Amino acid sequence: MSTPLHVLFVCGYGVGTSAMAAINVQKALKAERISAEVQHTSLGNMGSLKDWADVICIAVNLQQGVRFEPGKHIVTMINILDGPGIAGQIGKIVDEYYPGIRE
Amino acid sequence: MNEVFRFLMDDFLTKPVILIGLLVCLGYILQKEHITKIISGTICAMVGLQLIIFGGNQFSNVFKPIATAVSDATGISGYIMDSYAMRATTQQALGDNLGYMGYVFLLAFAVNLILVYFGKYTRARGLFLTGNIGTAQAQAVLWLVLSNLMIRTMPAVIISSVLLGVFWAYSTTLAAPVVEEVTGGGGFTIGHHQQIGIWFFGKIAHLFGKKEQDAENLKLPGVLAVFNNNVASVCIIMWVFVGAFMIPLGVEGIKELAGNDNWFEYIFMVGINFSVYMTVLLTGVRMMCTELTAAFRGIQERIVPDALPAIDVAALLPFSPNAATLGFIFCTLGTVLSIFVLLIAGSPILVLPGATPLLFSGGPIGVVANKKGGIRSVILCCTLLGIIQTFGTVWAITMMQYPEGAGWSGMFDWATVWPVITKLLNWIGQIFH
Repeated sequence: MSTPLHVLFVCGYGVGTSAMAAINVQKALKAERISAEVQHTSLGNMGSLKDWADVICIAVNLQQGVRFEPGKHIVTMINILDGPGIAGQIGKIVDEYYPGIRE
Repeated sequence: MNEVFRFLMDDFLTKPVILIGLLVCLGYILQKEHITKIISGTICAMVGLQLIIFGGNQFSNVFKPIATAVSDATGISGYIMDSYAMRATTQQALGDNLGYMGYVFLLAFAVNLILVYFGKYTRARGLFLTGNIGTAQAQAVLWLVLSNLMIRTMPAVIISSVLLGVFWAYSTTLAAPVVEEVTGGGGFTIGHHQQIGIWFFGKIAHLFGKKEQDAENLKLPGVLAVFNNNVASVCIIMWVFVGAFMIPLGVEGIKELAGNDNWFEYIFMVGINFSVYMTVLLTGVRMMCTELTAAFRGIQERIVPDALPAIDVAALLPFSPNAATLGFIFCTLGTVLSIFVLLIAGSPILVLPGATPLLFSGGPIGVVANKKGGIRSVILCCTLLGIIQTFGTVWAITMMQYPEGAGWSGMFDWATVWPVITKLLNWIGQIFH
């Protein structure tokens, strides 16, 4: 078994929308046959989990002014309840950069 | 043996952290989780609650000496308007009764679930899933019921649950059409501290401008993005408002507060420390509430798959990032204007805004206003929002039954609907006592 994909969800306070997004997307990733570990946090605390994450999912309104190091995969979220849509975007990243992870 | 029993019943089991731990543990067992998950999840929830209690108490401890000094110097009592200040106030007011918040939270969810399940007859559609908000509201309502009705804990738990469950069912349903329009059929509604506000501004926002003048066409200064960072925004907002609040003390007064420290260092550290304890609080909320949100989402999908999930209000912000930023700015403006009115009118109570109502009421109402009436509507609605929230919170603080608390919510519903309910509870309490 390969190591699961690490997906980090980021929202303003790291307690509400990022948690809900993580719950929905994790379920949708299972449907995509992608094994993933998810965590969620606030924008202010994102630094401590940046290294852990393979993919960072962040709401579009929070992206302004945030710089990510090159090579980090970023997924922009608009409707955080759209699990399948966000999982689909992650799926594209998986196929291109982590082809071993999809079962 | 008898003594052990008495220790268990009167002391150990009534401690909030134990009560919540047992509840979470039972939940995991019912979900047939693996033993490692049962143990680790239960301990995480208990540590989370202790972090919340610790962070909330420290939050109050940073503010109270300042409030006392200003009150001694000017006769004005200062309070913070922030939903996390309400959490701190009610956890202190409830004391060892805090653990019953868990029962209120679960029973209120059950009431909400039943109302939605029979939605054909009750017309309720929204199911409140937001664990981070629901726990704060559960303890606030429990405190308001206990202190105003002056009844025993168990009946208070029942009454609080029904009140809160009905509020959740209908406030989320009221907001649903507006949220559906703003998100283009996003398939959710909002379960937070300002659903009634979303409904209210959804009704009037179109009057103030044309929606073709979309705020998204503007280019806003990039530096405003600093307020997206919660650690920074809490600190900056506290520097500004608590700093201004300390002006009447003068340098001499602040030196007295600072003790051995330099007075400027003291002011500087006030902002930093607020942010520290807010971070502690949020870490605790994350540890205690994420699993609750996940469990509620699971129950919703199983039992009422057609219900509208009511989720955290920040879900609206990506639908119009500029309007969210402008909403924050003009909500702050309305709040500051109202604070000046309070000062000029000689109000004995003054409120200082925390980051939460400005960002998470101002932001989403800005998004709603922009969708309905464009940029002019954002400006007018959010200024009005700040005014309503400030005066309403002053009213709520006169009724919070715990004057030594650090503050109250400052969010729309807690500045409008809940003070009215509190007033009614108070009348009922007085009739029976």
